[in-house]
Amino acid sequence: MTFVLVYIREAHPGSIISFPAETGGKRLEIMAQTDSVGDRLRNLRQFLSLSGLTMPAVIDDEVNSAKRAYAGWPDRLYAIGLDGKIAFKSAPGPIGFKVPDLAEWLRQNVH
Amino acid sequence: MRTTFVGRVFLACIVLLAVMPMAYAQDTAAKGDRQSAVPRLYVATGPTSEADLARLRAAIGKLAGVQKVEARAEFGAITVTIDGDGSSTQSLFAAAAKSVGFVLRPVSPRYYIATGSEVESDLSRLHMALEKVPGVEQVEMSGRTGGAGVRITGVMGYPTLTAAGKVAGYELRELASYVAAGSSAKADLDRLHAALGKTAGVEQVEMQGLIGGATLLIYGDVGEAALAAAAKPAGFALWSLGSPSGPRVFRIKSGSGTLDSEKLRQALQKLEGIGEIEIRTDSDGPQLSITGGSAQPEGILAAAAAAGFTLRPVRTVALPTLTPEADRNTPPDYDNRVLEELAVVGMPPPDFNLLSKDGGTQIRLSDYLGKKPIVLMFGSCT
Repeated sequence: MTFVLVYIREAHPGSIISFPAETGGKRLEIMAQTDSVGDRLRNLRQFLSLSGLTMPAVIDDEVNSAKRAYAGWPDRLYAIGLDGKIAFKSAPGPIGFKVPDLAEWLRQNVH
Repeated sequence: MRTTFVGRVFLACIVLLAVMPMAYAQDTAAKGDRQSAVPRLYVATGPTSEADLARLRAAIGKLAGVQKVEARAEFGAITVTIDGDGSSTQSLFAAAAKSVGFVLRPVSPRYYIATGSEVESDLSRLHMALEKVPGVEQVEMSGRTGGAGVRITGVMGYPTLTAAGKVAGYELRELASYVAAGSSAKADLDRLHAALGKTAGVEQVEMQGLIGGATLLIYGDVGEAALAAAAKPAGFALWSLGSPSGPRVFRIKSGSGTLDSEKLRQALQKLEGIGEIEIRTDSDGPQLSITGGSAQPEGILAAAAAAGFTLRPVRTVALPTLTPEADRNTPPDYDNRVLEELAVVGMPPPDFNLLSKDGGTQIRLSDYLGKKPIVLMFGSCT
């Protein structure tokens, strides 16, 4: 099983997010919209450090190709089977972003 | 841990996107962080004589876990700071204050954008200048392009703060975020935008369309009541993110198998100052929302518990979600409706070749296909 995180444009740019500060305590950061590779990479890395996720992760390109191709905004889950076809597609997030549904699908289909 | 963070962020989005009743940060109900959850600073209305203030201090000081109470009448307001171990909650403080003739309410932090130098020494000068403003209790800052984001807790005037900022070389603008529920039609949102822009004190309005309304980021010295009044004729209900006047949402767990919603409703209706109660079931289970009224969340939780129901507040991220750069946002329903058919179950996935997190290599999806099953997770920090 390979998990890939696709970091796309922010859903709520301007959100203030609290990150742990290097000096201890917390640091508030206003998350701007990301329209450049550099900005998107920076936000992805902040997200990874905050969430502790270590899976392969990519950033969507400047014209949001992956977001558009997968209707992935604001967030969404897909599973692709060994036959190379889409086998599971969640409803659009955040309402459809149901990790338990994906977990159930994995339990039943991946051995 | 992973899903907790992701879940928390997405939960906030659920509330925003559905423009469902807005839960406000419901920290006091969280087990384990009671102390940090109870605000330290309050404002009170009531008599201002020293004898009355002493009575107020004594009444609150008697409560369990309270270590220190200060109450001062200054700058046209009564400010009360309470230090304690968190075993007494906000509603007990309010009740104690009420018993001696005061109305007590917590002070929420306010947010500002400071425009000016990004140099650290300049920012620390700003920090010091703001801390010296009478009434300011706490200043938190984070650097950003073109200045800093600033969060200030205290009872202070907007002109005093902006003046202090100016002396330190920064232009300070207050900002607050709101939810407007009504229509998502562009013409209606434009009308809302125009109405809010004309409200006294508003410097700038930024808007992000949502299904059934919008989130708003408003700069300027203006309160929720004035904005709500301006939004109403435009056909929108408006409330502040994090404001208790907005609806509060709870997930319901009942002791028995089926939910006796009438029993819960009756238990809640006995609460003083309860607002409008709505109980409904969605895909995540039964949900209670309470709109308006003055009942404190901990009172709601306690009344429900006494009737055998466990309520779990739907938490939003504790800090407001702000939405600048409105023009860069497309309403999500539109975006997804148009694009929904491109990635279809049973079909090969659209290929991509994207930059990896290391910033140097590309990952092409088709290179991975057929080797192992793949899970793709789309999302962002916000």
